[in-house]
Amino acid sequence: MARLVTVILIALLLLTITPLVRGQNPFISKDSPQKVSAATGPPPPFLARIAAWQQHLNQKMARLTREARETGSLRPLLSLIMIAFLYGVLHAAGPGHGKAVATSYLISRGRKLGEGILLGNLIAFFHGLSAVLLVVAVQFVLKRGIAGPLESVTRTTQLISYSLIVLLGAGLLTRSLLSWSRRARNDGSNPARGLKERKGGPLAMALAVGMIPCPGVVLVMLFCLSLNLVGLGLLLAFFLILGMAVTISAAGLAGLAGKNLALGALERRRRLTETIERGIEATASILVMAFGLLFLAATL
Amino acid sequence: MKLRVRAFLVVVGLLLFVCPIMAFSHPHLFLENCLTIVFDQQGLAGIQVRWVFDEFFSSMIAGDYDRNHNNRLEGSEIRMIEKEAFANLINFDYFTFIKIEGRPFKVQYIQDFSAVLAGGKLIYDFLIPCHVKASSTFKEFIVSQYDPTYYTLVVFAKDQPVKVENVSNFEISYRIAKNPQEAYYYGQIHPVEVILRFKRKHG
Repeated sequence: MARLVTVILIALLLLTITPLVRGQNPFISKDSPQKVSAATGPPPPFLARIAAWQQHLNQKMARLTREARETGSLRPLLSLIMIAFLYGVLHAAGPGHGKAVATSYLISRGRKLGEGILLGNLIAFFHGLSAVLLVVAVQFVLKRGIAGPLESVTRTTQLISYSLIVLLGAGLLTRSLLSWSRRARNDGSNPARGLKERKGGPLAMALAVGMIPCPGVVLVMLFCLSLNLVGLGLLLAFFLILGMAVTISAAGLAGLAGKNLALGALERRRRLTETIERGIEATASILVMAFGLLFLAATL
Repeated sequence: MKLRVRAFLVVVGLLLFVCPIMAFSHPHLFLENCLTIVFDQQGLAGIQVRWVFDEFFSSMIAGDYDRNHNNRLEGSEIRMIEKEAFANLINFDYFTFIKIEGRPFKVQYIQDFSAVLAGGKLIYDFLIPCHVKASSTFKEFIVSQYDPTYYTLVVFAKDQPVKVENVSNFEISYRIAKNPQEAYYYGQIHPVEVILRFKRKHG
């Protein structure tokens, strides 16, 4: 009974990670609207509050940036840095920042919490870096308006990113199945080989997920550039990225901790734990693929 | 067994913790709306909408469309903004969702679009024509504005979010309230509605 509950809980954990994507600007994007589903239950009451906090921080960041520009003083700098960081934390709490994929990916790869933190940081870094690069390329090299290029680059990178996620998911699944069959043949006598197989993955996954430019970072950079504050723009972008890294890492860690706890409950039955772990990892790999396919279908 | 049960409870707790994190929304741009409900001789004639955008989005649009960088938007610039940074909202019902006597009314076009820059903020004004003839009994008209994709957070302005115009021939009352019966964006956010009741005055 206990085993059944564990498996059901893990399946629920994986399946209820809502695949919400898109993140294209409805004012500019040429796409048809995202389908809106009916209410399925009472929405979390704090959701609207989180959005209201973001709006408050957004207004405060704009006001302090203007103040820094007008007074030439560094006094608002500390507040600005803190606001940018908090804004990043809240901003990445939304869908479209790769948390669902990151969590599934981590669950599919083992039990290491350190990998969760590394992946979260790398995703946030690439997500922000691509935004900074886009702004620099469009404003300084092409010297063009940004709204159009932002939409087209977002769309292109989404297509590439989601395709890569599907491929990486397929890779993870193949690896998981291969290791399963190898283990069945050898009875898991070579743990070192398994360990070697797990290296080198997070960077590719972080690049695939994080290559879509973060519109939040783009907007903050543009605002600072419009006030001739290039350095401040980069500084705020950095702290925004840091804030996002915290949230993305936390989501991944929460998923991993859930898996570890559930498996820990079965620790005394080693063989069973291993079988369930393999099952969870294979399911999570399928989920990574499924997310990629769903996102791709929503973008095409 | 007790240990296992406790571990399962922790997992349930984590499940509840992780899922809302996944489901949080992330507005990227923010706008404050003001609605002026306009009446004519016959009854309700439409809604004059004002959207005031956050300074970050405003700065992007100003950078792209205020071609002569004079911090003012002129005719050709406004036309470009309407074409490239507004017209697409027809696919999103202009973020406006109306019910007349409980029946949905789809917003298919708008009139008199204009855009200005004021104090670093971009402002859109436009009219949504919607005629509802008044009678001797009360009619109910409900309107809410939101972005169904939640890319944009639409909130009522703090100062005078709703106004009514040309109402001398009518008896009207209105209130602003969250509708707990409906939710958008995957059932996560309740819309905030203006619920207006109006009828023709006697004599």
